[in-house]
Amino acid sequence: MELFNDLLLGFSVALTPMNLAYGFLGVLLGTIIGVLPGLGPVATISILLPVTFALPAPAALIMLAGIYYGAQYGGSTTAILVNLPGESSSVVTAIDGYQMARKGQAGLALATAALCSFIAGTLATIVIAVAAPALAEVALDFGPADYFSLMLFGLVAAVILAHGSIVKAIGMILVGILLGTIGIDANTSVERFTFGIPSFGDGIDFAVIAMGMFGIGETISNLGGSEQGRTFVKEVKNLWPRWADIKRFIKPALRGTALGGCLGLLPGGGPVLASFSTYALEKKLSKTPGEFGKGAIEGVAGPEAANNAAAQTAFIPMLTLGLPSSAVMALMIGALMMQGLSPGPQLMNQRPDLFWGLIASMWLGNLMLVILNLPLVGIWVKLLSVPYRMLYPAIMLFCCIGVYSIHNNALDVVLAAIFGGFGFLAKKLHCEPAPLLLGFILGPMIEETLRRALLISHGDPTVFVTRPISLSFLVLTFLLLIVLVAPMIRVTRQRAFEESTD
Amino acid sequence: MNIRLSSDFLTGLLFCGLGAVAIIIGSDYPVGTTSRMGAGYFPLVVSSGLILLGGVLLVRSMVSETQEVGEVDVRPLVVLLGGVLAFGFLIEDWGFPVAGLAVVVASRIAGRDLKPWLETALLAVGLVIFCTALFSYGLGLNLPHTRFW
Repeated sequence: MELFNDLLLGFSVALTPMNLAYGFLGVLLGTIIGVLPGLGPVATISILLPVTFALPAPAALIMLAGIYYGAQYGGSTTAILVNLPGESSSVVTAIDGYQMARKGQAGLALATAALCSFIAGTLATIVIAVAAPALAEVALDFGPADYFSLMLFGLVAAVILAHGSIVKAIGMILVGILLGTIGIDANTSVERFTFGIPSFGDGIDFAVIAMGMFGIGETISNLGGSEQGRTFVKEVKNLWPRWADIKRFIKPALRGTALGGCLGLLPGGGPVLASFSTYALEKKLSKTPGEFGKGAIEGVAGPEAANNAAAQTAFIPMLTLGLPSSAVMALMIGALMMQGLSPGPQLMNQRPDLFWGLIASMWLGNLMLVILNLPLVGIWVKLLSVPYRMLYPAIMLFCCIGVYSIHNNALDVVLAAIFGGFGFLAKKLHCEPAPLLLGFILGPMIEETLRRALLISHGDPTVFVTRPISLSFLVLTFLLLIVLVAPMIRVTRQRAFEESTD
Repeated sequence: MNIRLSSDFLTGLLFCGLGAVAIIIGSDYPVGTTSRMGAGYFPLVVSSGLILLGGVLLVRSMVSETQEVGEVDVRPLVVLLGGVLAFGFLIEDWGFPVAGLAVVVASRIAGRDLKPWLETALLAVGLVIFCTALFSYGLGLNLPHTRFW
């Protein structure tokens, strides 16, 4: 009954005309940018983040969440119609979705993707509503040592997601942590790495780093590559699936939801891993595995459901523990902190309106996606024919305005340019920018919990293994490390990502 | 520009360099004890870890064959960053319209799309007007006005 009341509160927040409008705006903007190839959810959110600063916290978060699943879904449309994944988790959708589109089933593929995402989104929302409060309750018992081990676990798990070299991914995390120490040390008031610049005292704003590395850095690499001719399917008809189609995709959709929902919970799991594993699972379960890769509807349904479910359950560790499981969630935490809220188990009690409003808005956002994407698919097809040479100047201008408007500080723009260069350099050196962002967000929390845990234990490091919660996270971290270096897994992991980068 | 050096080697250098710089700058910060950590303790641990990882990469690049960095297109890197920097330097003294035009034109130069001129000019002016309307008037962001009007 309490759940019912909470959800009622949530809907009363999410259904106010203002929040509904911001949610819709978020989904719409997210879809528009997500449809355009080259910009994924992380870049989209970092560019639009400053716009939300002026909003009240629930509206800001609802809008950001809308941008997130809008961009996530928009990527699938591009994947199906152009065979260009708008972001990494729709790589799998492109395999069978594009083949369906070429066979004249573009409408069916788009409808399958939209409906399966909606099914997954609805179920995942229910899971969040049930699981998050329970987890937050448990998390209230966490001491500093437990948090430290949990974050260590989160960072190590995030490494799994990074493409390529593990050493480089860990290195990028450490660079991020170092960047996070810039500013006045909260405990001793010593200025660290501020180079005598007063505005560095509060540290570098993470939106500057995100926009520099993802927005500017990625545009530089896109311009470096040769312009590929895009051939896309313009004919979209027969949008509504027949009963036989629904019967074919409902089971993969449910399996995808279950698998994706579990993987989304894991730090570092996320939509990419979810869609890949579901595709593999469906191929294995299928009676006609030969059809996969040639336009099997199950190959669209499963992964689409999985990446959407994972995208949503990723909110659970973020909302209850303050632990970002992906770069997008790191951005969400940054947005919360800029609103003066600290994510973690207290959030639900302090701001139930925000917490439940966000959950209710997730379901509404998924509903809006279906409405936006099925009847309006023609608009997205048109949008795809806008040439890139018209887009990137606009993206750069938005980045500059966004960075400048955080503090009305021109120095931030200069910094963003530096991080843009660094992001490009990192990409050329085959280092992923996402782990850096995670390290940057988690770094200050790790330092704080480490210091507090050791202060309480009078410098005795065994505190991390004598507390059962902390110990279990350390054991999990250790197991993950073993898995990471085990040669067999390394090979398959590489293979999965080679497929994804092709 | 084609860089034929191993990317592992360069990353190793980068990590070691960053770690070393952090340790040198941070050498003044009090380290403290394990139970009462000073400001320098944590950065020292992290930078040492970074140097260690950089070392691993350096060694790895020497004993095994690794990927080369490959083709680097210098033009978008320099011109695009130049455009963003120009925005940063122009925005406060010259106002948003001038800074905005500079970014858009620089982006088109970076992407080798300066021609057709008319398209670039129209795009630049159109985007600046659109952004002024959307961000300044619509969302109430405080973008500096230009001195010219």
